[in-house]
Amino acid sequence: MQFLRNLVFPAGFMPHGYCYLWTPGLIGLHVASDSLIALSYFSIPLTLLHIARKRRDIPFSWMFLCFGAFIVACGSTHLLEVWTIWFPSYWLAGGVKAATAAVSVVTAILLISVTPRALALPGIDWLMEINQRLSNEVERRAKAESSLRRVSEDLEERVAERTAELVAANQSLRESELRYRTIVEHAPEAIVVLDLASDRFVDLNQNAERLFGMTRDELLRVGPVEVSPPYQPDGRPSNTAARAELQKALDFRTPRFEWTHRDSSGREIPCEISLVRLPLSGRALVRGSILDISERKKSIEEIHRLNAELELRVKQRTAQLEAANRDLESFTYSVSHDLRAPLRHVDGFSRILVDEFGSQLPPGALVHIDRVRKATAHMGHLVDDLLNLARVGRGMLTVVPTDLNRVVAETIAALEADARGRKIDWRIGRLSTVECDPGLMRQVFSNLLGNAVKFTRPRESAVIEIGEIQTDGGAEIFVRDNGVGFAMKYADKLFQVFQRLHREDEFEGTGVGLAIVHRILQKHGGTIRAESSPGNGAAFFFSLGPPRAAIAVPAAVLKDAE
Amino acid sequence: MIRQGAEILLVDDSAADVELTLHALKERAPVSDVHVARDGEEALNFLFCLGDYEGAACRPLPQLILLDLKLPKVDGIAVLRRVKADRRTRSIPVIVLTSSGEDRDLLATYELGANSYIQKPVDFDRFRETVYTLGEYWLRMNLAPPRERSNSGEPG
Repeated sequence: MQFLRNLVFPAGFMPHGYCYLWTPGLIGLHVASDSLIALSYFSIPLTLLHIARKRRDIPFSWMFLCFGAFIVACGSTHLLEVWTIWFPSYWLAGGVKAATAAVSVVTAILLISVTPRALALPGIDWLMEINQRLSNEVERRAKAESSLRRVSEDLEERVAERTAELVAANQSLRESELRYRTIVEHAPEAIVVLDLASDRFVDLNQNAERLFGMTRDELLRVGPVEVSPPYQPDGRPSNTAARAELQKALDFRTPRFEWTHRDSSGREIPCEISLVRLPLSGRALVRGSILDISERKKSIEEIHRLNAELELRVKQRTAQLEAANRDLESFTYSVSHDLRAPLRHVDGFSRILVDEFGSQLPPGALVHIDRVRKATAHMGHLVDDLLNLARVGRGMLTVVPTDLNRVVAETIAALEADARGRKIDWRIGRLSTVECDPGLMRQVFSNLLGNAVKFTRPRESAVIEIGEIQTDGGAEIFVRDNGVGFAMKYADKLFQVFQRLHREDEFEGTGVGLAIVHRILQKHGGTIRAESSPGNGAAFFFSLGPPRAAIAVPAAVLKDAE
Repeated sequence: MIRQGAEILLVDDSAADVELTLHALKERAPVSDVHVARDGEEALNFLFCLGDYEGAACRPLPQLILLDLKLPKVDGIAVLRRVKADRRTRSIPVIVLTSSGEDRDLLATYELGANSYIQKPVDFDRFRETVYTLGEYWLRMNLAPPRERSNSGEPG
């Protein structure tokens, strides 16, 4: 305490006012100035401290503390200047000055040492530019960031989508697998999968179990050779034959072949097999599809048998027909040559008899000879008509467009002799031009019109009408007369050979004419029918059937027939 | 040497037909000589001086051949073929005179060069008329080719 008292109130010194001679003005000047300086000095560090605290980013803030300490120290010296005017605490003042000096020196040294670094500190402009750049950079970063976020969101979305797809694919794969499994399981064929490395079945369906009469487990312990007989029907050993076919499948061909299997009971089953190599890496797997063709085989054999039988029958029938045809032909040829000759002789010598010996014969004998000649003539007509009928049956049609009105006109002209001395009213309608054999058609009209002329003989005035009518079945040509007619109950006999509805002494005839007409129309694909009643005339209606294109005659035949 | 004599060679196997034909031929027409061959072989021998007609028996070629088709041994078609195939006989008119009017006979004979085809009518009046007409036509109206002189009479 003594020390402090001595320090503040030392003894022996005079206050500094004495130096100013206590001149009030001078004292006032010093006191005011020093007080204001001290006050100012004390206020500055506060401000600096405030700045340092507020702006922590300012570098070298400790320098503010140094400055603060230095200024407070300076302010203290000025305060002690005022104090020492009245109280001579010169030691204290000196000590404070010394402390101030120390702080000043330290601050000065520190300031010098810090100057290069302080000078290196950026200026405001530069800072602002930096700031600008920074804010640009920030903006760019922000943009980048937002785009990055977008990409990221997009990516996430895609990942989600892909995941969904994968899930769906997985699902459809499962379904597909199930579907194929079902298809395989319920296929009509037996299906097996063979591993060529082990020569064993590794998969199969229910039909395979059924076909071989073995369980799945039993089949999975064997291969194709175990379910086949030792030899195939063509004589090849089953194992080499199977290997050959499997090799084709291995080469990615799809062999299809017939194979005989043998089931657990030893029954041999004809099969059709198709092989395909499964497209799997690593393992040589071949799928075999096996179809039991026992039924098909049986059917084919049956068809072959029936075919052969049919062919044989056709051959036999053809041979029979050919023989019959030959017989018929030689028969008609013989009839043509040999049957007419005796008739000619009978007639010839009868005539010579009358010519040379007629005067020596009684009249009765001449009558008999006349009967002989008439019978001969009739027989001659029968033979000719029969030959004619046979010729119509045998011959080919020569079909050309034919004007039927012209055919009718020619036929009527040819009937001139028969119609001589008769009163016949011919009524001829408009007839079509049709596709037919003109020669045969002339014969049709010749027979029909000849009949009409013949059977109207009892009529004083005969009316014979020829015309064409349209029916549901097409055009029909008719020949109608007002002759003696016939009863319809005999209509079915009309077109048969040698069937006559009149006695020979009423109307001459052989009973072949309408049969020939019928045959000719049949050959053309046509039909004929008759309408009549006794005493009321007769009408014949006929058609020529469908257009003649169906019965085309080869040119060679036409040429031969010329 | 010119073969003269037979104006007509009638080839027919039927005696009745031969008689009727000769009857009809000679009744109204002046036919000097008709030689009758009763089968195809005889007809060919006669024409080509073979067999019974060899050497001295060789007869002149006819002006006309009336040929039936259905003949024993060698049929009419074969005779016709030989006649028409041989240069010496091919110009002799051959009239087919037969019972049949079958298409195949007509085709075959005309194909081989028959000059006419007559189907014998059953009715004798018409037969007579027909034979008379053909004799008239072929021997009187028709001009026959000039007779060959160079190699006639030699065996064929």
